[in-house]
Amino acid sequence: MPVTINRRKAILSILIVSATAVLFPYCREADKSVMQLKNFNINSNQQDMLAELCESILPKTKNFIGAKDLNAHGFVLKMMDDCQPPEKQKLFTDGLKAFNDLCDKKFTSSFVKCTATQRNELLTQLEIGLNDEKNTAAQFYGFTKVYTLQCFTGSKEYMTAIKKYKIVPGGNFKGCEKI
Amino acid sequence: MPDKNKFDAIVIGSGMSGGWSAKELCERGLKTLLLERGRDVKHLKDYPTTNMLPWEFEHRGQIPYEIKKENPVVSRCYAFKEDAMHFFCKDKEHAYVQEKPFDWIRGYQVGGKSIMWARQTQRWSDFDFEGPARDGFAVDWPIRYKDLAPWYSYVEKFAGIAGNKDGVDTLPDGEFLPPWELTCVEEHFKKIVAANYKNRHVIIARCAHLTKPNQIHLDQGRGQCQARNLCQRGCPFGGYFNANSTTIPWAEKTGNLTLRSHSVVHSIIYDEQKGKATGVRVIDAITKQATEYFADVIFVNAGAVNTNLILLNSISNRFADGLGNDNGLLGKYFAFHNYRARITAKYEGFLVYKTEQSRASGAYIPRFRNVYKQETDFLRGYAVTFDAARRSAVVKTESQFGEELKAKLMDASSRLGPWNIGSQCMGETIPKETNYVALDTNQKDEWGMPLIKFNVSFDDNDEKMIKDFMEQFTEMYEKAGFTDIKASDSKQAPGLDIHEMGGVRMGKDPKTSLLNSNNQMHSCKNVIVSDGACMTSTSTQNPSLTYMALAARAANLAVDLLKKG
Repeated sequence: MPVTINRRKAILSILIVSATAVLFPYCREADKSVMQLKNFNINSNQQDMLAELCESILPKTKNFIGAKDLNAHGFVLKMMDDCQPPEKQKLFTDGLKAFNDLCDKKFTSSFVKCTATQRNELLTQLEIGLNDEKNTAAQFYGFTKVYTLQCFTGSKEYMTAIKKYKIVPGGNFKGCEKI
Repeated sequence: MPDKNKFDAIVIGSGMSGGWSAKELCERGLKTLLLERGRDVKHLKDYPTTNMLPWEFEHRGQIPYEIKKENPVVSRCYAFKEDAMHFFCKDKEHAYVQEKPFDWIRGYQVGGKSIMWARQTQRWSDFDFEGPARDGFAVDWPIRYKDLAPWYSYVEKFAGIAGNKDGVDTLPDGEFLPPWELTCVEEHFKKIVAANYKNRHVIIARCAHLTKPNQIHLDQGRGQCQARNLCQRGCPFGGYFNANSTTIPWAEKTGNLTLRSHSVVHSIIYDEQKGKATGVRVIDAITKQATEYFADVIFVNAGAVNTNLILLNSISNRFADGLGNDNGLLGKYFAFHNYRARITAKYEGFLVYKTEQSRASGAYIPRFRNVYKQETDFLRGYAVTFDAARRSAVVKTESQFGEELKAKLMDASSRLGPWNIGSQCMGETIPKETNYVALDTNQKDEWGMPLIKFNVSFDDNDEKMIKDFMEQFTEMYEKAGFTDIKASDSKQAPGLDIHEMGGVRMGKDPKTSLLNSNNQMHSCKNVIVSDGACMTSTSTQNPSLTYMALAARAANLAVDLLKKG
């Protein structure tokens, strides 16, 4: 009964995919395959570029993890896919293309292959463009930066080590403590 | 009539007030049926997110776009977030009609909105109860502070209220557990306000948190509040009051309670010959099957709007326009609180001080306008919250990336910004005949209930009050040396305050009110309405504590009458 076997295989592979999704939630551990999104698509080059961009925004340093360690680009894509309206998703994907074009025009190179100096130059230019709604490359950068920051500052590592977050603070509030 | 469907008392609704009705009735020995239209929520067991860490939420707390698009009303509620959205009724699943915009926020489950409420518990005073008579609106309340004071004490002791005895005329003191502290800047503001204004008081707000549990709270299985500020998820410590941890289990312990969830009450059955209500018609929320339950006395605690809906839908030959509605006022004089205005500021003083840990309350300024005499061009007044806290310096908007940005983030805990100041205005609105809820008999929901339609709006008095709040608080903030003062009007619709009240008001005269001083319907005395629907006027205090006191009082008075025969 090949049909049944195929169906079984199909069901099994779905189970494996969902199990993977549970085991590797975004903003956690690296996952090399291209993310399947509900509302827009990206290819593996774009995904790699996004991962590099997130790392440029919050790089790994000698004392603490960076964006790549948290799979921040996966979180950026998930939030864009689930929490933004269609027009913002379009702005993001249009902006992603514009970002690639801009990088190519400036350095005749993809962002992934750019030097650290080139990346800095590009990001400095985009920071200035953040307030310009028509600057789609900058808007794409803006979404990426906001969600990378959210991924980082909301991560278990940051919240426990830096913010000293406790789910049970203890109820000993002090209204006026000398620093 | 089958015996299994016969009880001494029926309570419709298991939330803030219904839990109290059930507890009192069961304790007084009445076999009580507690009906809830939603699912059961057991304390501890049914709080699925309560111990989740912030990074465990898929969207870090945010509501996905699809859900927001399908549920625009509830999405405007501050507490409708990823961690508690399962406790909120979705617009899409429960339609209603907005002839004028009304944000109706609901919690359809055992415990109702008492799970997600903001836990502020201020008493009313006679400045509130005497308001309608003095200022000539609505009708005179049939009760005064002295009638409710012992019941405030009664519910406060059981629920557990943290607060300070402030001795303020407009906000009577109660039975308090230790208060939370004010912050440095709140203390500073308190001093400035006291020095510059007569009869304006900055206090710590009273709230339903166990800062130091008494034996009665331990007996309930509840413990000390740990200031997690995640209350909307349900509390694993039982640190705040909700019906699920407090009143309902207490009622269950008596052995007299039957709790039936998934029970949509269609109407109250009126027996023309006996001249009283004899029971309720219930539609099973899942099977849609209709069942009748019978009792000697019926308590309507369905939440202000749904209480109106059930009574309006309880039609008989005797009451063609809804139960007890001889004067045509049922559903009218519906009111709410004016929550549109806010003011924020910064303060650059006290920079060598900070707060430590968190607390479950904030500062509060009870109503000071038109208290001892009419002094403005609008009626009544407003109470105001006041919070001053320091947060980590914001780096998001700074034009940075890379190692420089990361270094700032790593340093965030030691880099505090200035004090952030914020106040929310809570204004009394004047109940009017033209503000009403009514049935839309052309549209029915899947349980066969007509839809409720809202015709409720702000008026000129509310607009003037907003303007006055902004002027007064700008001046008070300036006197305190605050900077970057920004007043704003959210223009939000009525309802988002989640303080909807009235439609079945109490009063002395059956010609102009629906309920007597015992919360009994004037023309059907074995039906008692003791939730927000009974409110004759709205005051400027968060209403839940008053609902609890009214419900406990009404249940005990009803049992007294039953026992007299």
